[in-house]
Amino acid sequence: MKRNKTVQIAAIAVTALVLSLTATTSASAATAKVNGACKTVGEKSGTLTCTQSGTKKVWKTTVVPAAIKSWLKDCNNQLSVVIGYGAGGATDIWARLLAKYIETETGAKVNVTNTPGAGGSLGINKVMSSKRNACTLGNVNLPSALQYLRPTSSVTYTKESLNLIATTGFSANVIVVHADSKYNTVKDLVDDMKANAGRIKAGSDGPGSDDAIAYYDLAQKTGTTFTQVVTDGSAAKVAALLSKQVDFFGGSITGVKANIDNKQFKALCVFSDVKSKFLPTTPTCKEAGYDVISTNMWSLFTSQGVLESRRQAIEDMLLKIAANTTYIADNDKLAIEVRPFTSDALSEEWTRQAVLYKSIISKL
Amino acid sequence: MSEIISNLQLGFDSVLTLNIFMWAVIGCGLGMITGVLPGFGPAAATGLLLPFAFVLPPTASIVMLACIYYGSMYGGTITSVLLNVPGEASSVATCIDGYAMTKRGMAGKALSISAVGSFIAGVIAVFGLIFSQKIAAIAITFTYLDVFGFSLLALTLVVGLTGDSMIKGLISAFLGLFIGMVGLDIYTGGPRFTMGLDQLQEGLPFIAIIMGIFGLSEILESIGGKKQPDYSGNIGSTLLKWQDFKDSIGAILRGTGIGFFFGLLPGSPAAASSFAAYTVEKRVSKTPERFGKGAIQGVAGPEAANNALGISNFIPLLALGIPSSATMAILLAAFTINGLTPGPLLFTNNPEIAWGLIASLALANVILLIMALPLVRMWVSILKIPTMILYTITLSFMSIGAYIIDGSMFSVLVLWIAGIVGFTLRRFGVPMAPAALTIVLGPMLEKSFRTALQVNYGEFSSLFSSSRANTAYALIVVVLATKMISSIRKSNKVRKMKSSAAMNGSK
Amino acid sequence: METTKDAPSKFLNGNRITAFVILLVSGNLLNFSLRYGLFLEDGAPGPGLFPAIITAPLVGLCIAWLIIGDREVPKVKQDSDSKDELTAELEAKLDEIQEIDSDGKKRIAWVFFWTIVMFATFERLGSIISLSIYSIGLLFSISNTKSWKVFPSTLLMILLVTFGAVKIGVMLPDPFNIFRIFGGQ
Repeated sequence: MKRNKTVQIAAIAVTALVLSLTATTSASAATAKVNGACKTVGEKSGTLTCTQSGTKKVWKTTVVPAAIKSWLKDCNNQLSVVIGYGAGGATDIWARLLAKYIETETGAKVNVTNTPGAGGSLGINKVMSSKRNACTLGNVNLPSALQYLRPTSSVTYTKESLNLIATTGFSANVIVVHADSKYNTVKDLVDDMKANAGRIKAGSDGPGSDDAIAYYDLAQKTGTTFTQVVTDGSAAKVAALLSKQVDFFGGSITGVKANIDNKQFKALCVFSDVKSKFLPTTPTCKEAGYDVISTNMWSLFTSQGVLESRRQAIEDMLLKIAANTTYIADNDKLAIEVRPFTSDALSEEWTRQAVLYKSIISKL
Repeated sequence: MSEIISNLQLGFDSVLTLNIFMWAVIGCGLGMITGVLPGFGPAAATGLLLPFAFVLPPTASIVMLACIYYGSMYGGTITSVLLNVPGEASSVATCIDGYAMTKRGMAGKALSISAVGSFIAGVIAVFGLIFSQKIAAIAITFTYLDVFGFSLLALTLVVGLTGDSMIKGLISAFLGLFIGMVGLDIYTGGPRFTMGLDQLQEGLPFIAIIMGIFGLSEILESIGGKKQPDYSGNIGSTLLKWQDFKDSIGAILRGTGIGFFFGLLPGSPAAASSFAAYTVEKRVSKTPERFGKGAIQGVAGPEAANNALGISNFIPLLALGIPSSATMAILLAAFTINGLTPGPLLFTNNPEIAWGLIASLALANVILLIMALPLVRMWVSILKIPTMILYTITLSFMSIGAYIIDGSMFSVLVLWIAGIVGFTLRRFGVPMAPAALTIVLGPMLEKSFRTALQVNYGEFSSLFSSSRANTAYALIVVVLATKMISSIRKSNKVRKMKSSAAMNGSK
Repeated sequence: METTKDAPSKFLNGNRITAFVILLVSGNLLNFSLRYGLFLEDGAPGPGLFPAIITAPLVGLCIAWLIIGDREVPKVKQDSDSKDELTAELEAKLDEIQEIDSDGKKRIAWVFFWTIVMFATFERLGSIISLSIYSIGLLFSISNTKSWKVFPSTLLMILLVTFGAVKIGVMLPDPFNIFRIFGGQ
């Protein structure tokens, strides 16, 4: 009997082995494909080919700054990017794409981990408390990161606690209405908001969220009022507009481009200073006479205390990636604009937005 | 009609290449394996494997992710049936009778019927997918108010799950409802019951809770028990008999209908559909007392519902571009990564992808059935592992499963607290199934109620303005009234039987 | 799960204590809910409304449980004709709650002990070392197996599954880079 049991345990173990081998096979198949992707990059830039293990060739063919070399050595060629949002969201996709390019750039393995929760601040906390070797990078999104300025906020970080590196991703918010809607311009919408004070419904992620702040800003500047309908997440917001339970909402172009392309939604105006390259025919709200700005910026940061030369080297690397035409083309597919910001520019933009944010929430 | 056939042919043409077929098989296999890890539901599995979308061609990556999703749903069933460890809330309904069947030595049968039930439900649902444009046009007319009505109706299902003590059953239900309240209140932005913990702002990790109150508490109880259950001597035949099939085909078809419908409702939790299928089966059954003790219909119905829901979830995604669940959001991401836009345009611009996905789901059904049935014997042989060793391994895997929810020990801690609370409550006869249903229903009820009010400018009278919601309210009244009448009858009977019950009481 | 009728006095205290504990907790939660505010200024439901709707009945139910204690409505015994043999046999098998004897308590205590060890080591030593200690510890203390082969095969299985998980992209703590030594990334 006992012998029998042992045999069975061995059988189970063998099965487990087979199963994990299956996993391995497919994983390595994917790696092969990654190398293929790396090859395309190489063909474009003419510097590298990744016929074997994509990692080593890069080492030989690209000049790697000393600061990057020591960084990779400290990290055992293993980097980690912590995302404060769940898998499949815009931030997640942006980060995974960027991670892929950091891999080809450095030859290190980049793991993307999702630590969703508390509007991204759980991920930020995790990076803040990581070792001071910059092996762990994190994403920080403006303006959602500004939530620490809200009086009810329990968020513990401030701008000063983050060691900003650089921004690569950008997406402006756009006002959309249902394709059947009677509004064709943002002026139609504002006029109706004036005529039917408080009866026009805007889909929002909740008071104090980025979109609601933009609505309040618009309402204040036009002297109108509206009803806020809170939905749980961007997919729900899209569904609410499709089922005509709300009259309009403002969402990132990245999120609603598909619905606009599908002729489900009409785009009225873009909350940005320049027109979006993804919606060339849509005016900016400023052009339409309503000076409201509402955008999203995806940036990387690391913990304080990291060697400045190392941080600078990572910044340079990110800006180099942001200039890569293949990277830009890949982002175009996702309707993400590549708009690089250096750490200084990002810091300046942060301060500017923080002032604006405070002035709006103080009036609420 | 001929158009549909030519479209389907296009779909199958794009899928039935060796390359894509291989990815479909790998997807099903990977999905099944990841699904078997406790706590590893479809959303976790597809989320982890999303990076593949970056490296594979569009059809391959989407087909593979869809197959992973599909496979992991079946993988979750395996642990639910064999170990009473549900991978997520929707498998809890399967646990109830599936694990009871295992205790009866019918684990093989339970796994086979869930594979067959899933297959039938899947085939029917894929057929519905062909008409996704038309169905989606109806689905989009559902408002928050309608969803509120249906979730309230779903809540009355709890009555059917309370077991023998109504009070204890309701305590479990209300505790579950409460768990769903923890976290940030999205309407005001203020935290609720978070005790100052950032990790709780997004709410309690409910997969960890479900694993705790079911799997972990069961294991603790068995470890402490005087005599450990030993299934090794009697793991039963894996073969389905014609009679079993005849017994469960009704349940499968009803489950398919229920699951398909729930999958169309925006934001409806999968658990509600499988519990709905379970309670419906219990209600229509001639032998309701067998439920909870290994009724094959109690496995077939929820499994069919779960699978039909899994497929009808694709309808809002394909036809409207709206992801109705976390898993669908990840699939949507896979589309975007490949530069595709789900929605009406997908069918005109990339028909090979749209129809290819439909074809691949049909294919996944077949692949999964072919993979699942022969493997049943292997899975069941897990039960031959001496109980304590099996528990040791399961406990380790559960920790991994909980850890990866958010990459921290916090969820592992939640798992253990939930396990200990569940263990204690079960010892005093508080059933855990009602809590599993209400944990997912609570937030849905609150959000649909409050958003519906906002949509209607805060007028409470508007709650009765939708005919669909009113129908749901009427059904609630009917369900509660019949339950009351039957319990009055029952208590009369009890009074009559009291003396004999007292005599038979000691076993 | 139904409390068995054959041990009424044994669970008497337990039932009431549990009811009392839940009562205290839910009373506290109700208090919190009320403080969050039932309605907002404009009459819309506030953050505390649903929690209050949930916790208030919970308080009531706990009081009811406290009063009835372990006294239960006797179970409806179906007429023996209407119940087939199988069901009857099963009820006997499934309905009993496992009694936990002192050996069982010891085993559960061991589980808790090793779990605490696991908690302390999971992130510091990494998942492989921590889970190996955990499973060996558990096997030693709760299973009465004498076969030494059990240990390596259990370990092997845990190793394989962790490797499989890491292979498909699960991030597990690994401070000593063990995964890398074995070729995983």
